[in-house]
Amino acid sequence: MGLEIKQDETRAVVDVQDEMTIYTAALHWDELKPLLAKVKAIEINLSAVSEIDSAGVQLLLALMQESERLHNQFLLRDPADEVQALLKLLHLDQQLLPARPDATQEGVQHG
Amino acid sequence: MDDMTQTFIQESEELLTQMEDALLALEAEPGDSEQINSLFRAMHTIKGAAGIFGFDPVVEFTHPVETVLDQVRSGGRELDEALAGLLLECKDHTARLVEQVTGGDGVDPELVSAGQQLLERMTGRSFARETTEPEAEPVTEASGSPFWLITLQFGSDALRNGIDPASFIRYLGNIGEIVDLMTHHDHLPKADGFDPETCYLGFDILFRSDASKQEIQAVFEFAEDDCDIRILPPAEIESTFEAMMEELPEDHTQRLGEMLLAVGAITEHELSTSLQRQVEQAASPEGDAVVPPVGEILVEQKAVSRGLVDKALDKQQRAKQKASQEASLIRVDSAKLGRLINLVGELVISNAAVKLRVEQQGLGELSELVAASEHLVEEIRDNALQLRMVQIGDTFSRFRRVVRDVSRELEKEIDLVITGGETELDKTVVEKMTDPLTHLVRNSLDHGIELPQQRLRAGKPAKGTLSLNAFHDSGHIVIQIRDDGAGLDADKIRAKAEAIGLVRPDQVMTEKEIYQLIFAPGLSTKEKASNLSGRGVGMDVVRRNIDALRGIIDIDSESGVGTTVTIHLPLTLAIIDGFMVGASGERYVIPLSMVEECVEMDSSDWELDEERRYVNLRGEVMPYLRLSEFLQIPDDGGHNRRESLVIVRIGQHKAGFVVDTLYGELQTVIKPLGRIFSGFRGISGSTVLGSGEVALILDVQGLINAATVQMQLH
Repeated sequence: MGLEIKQDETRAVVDVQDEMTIYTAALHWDELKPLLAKVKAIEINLSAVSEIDSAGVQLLLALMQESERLHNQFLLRDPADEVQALLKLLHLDQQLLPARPDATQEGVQHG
Repeated sequence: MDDMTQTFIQESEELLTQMEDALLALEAEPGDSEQINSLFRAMHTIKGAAGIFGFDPVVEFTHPVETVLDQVRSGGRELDEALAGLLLECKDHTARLVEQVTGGDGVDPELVSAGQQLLERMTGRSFARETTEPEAEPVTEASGSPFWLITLQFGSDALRNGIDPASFIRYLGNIGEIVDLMTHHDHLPKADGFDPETCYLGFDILFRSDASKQEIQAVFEFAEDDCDIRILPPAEIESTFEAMMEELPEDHTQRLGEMLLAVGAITEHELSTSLQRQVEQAASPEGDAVVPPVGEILVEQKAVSRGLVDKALDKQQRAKQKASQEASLIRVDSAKLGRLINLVGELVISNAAVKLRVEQQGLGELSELVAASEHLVEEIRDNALQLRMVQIGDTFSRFRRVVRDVSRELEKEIDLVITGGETELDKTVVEKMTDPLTHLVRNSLDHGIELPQQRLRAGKPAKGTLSLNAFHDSGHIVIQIRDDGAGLDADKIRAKAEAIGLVRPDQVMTEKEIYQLIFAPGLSTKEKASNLSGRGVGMDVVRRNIDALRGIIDIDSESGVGTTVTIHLPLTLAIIDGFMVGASGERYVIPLSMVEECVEMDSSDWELDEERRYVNLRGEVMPYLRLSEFLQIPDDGGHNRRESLVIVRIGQHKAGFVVDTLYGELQTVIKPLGRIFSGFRGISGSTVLGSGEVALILDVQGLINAATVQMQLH
């Protein structure tokens, strides 16, 4: 449970094996925030997110915003149904989720 | 005609008068928004009222005028002189339309086409057809969307307090459709400042639902403490709110918040937060800052639209105005007042009867009571008469229009100066004075004030001045019409009077007497009769009207400087304080206000010259009359009667009346004389005494004139 982080010099891939709620937000932030400064690209796999609430969405937004500020690549991948539904409800799906997996792949590799 | 129509006519008249006043005021002070609003309101209200009554011709005419005024109000069109002139014509036209639609015979097609031409001149559009077809409903402005707009700004502790904004939004989906949603995360701080457990989120939601505002608000009930919730209704609901607002009973218009709450435009929570905020702002350290009204706060918080608040404020304002008008004024049928004053008159007489009886029977212990009730009756009398008193200012103001129109027509420049407009006099007197005043004003404008070139040549300012003045003077009201024109030409008047045989060529006359000749029928010195005056009719009618009011009219004039017409009028026509005298056993009443002094017979102060018919009172010579002689009362044989002298004065005219007895003051209820006595000189009315006897009221003016003539003839 928790976050599985694979990291090289420029890139980090985070696998969220956990809920993303108010209960986990602080923990996740503590782990992810240092990454932002270290790598040039972050990819977060949301396929195993068991539950998500507004705090989780807000965390994702904060990560995205900070990445943009640092001109880092930021990618959310394979959102679980629940994640997808919530982002859609809040009309954040287009903003946070890649339109097509291919395009994002490309973005990460050549960005 | 039913009461409602009557009310419509009356209100239209008042509004049109306001409109005219506003237009004239705007000439003096262009761009005064208050007056422009007043113009708009007048047309708007008449249109609305006419609509209710189904007076279509009025609606058809006033609607385009209102549109033009709306443009003026919003700054889209300038209210220049031309437009002001047209609007004055519109005012007159509306008055005629109101008259005809309420007259029952329908509207004269000529009048309708005149109105269409007027509108064409004003708008440059053709109204010939439009007015006969129902006007297309104006496209409602696409000002609002058909959706609710819900704005949520969550408090920073929301997440920590277990509030999940997303769940509320999800729940919202159960009572309607979320058409669009925008998640605001622009408050998210940079990574260093970001606290993942603090909520930074806000949402704008476009929502389609049949739910009421309260139902929508209820969705967020549990978040209320941690969320700033604003719910703006869709445009169509907004208009429902406006309609409901319009129907709110007037006793519910005390508080803006409650009005908005009552129609469902805001929720109780919104209201209480706004009020709370208002209190906070009032208590804030920079406390002298003006506390914003609740309406402002609600708009600022996006709880309601500004339009709705304005509407509510407007309604509130109208209700207030109406309430204050209702509180300060009651419309009363003048006939009712007339009845009241008649009754008070009877009361005065019957009280006098009681007093007399008490005196005759020597009921000493009652006399105090009688005196007290007499005092009360006097007060009631004065108050009852006061009810009919109106300020003359309204009548004076009407002449602004006359002066404006006439001076344009004659190409003269004339200012009207009104003073003493607050002077009060009996409404019946005011009504009867309107025509004579109009004649006199027109006369001054036409004959008195010269053309600008002439004035400049005479060393006077090009702009002439006409002043209307009113004031009280010893129980009379004095009205003056003064112009700074050329003055009357005494020689010309005299020549004309001789020509028509009014005076003999050898007759010696003072200038004043010559001026009085202009009141004779058929005398006009204007060589060419103009549209306005100079046709020789009018001034004699003026004189007759003023005589009928027991008033007098005086003329002072100086060549090249101007003319002043002074009118003295009694304050009231109903009940007066009188002074009773006796002659040959009959009793007569002289209005007390005209009595200057009384002198006893044996006084060495006065001396009659029976030959030359004058009385010398302490060196002052004035005409006199022996009442019994003049009124041809058969002598009652008392040769040794002790005569007294009563000095009367009206304006500058004085005379002495020789009488047998002085009875003293008494309240006098004036009863008009029957037609049969109308030719009877020297008597203006009668009154009933406490004893049931009748006493005649002397026509002091007539008697003074007669005495003066007698003195001159000898």
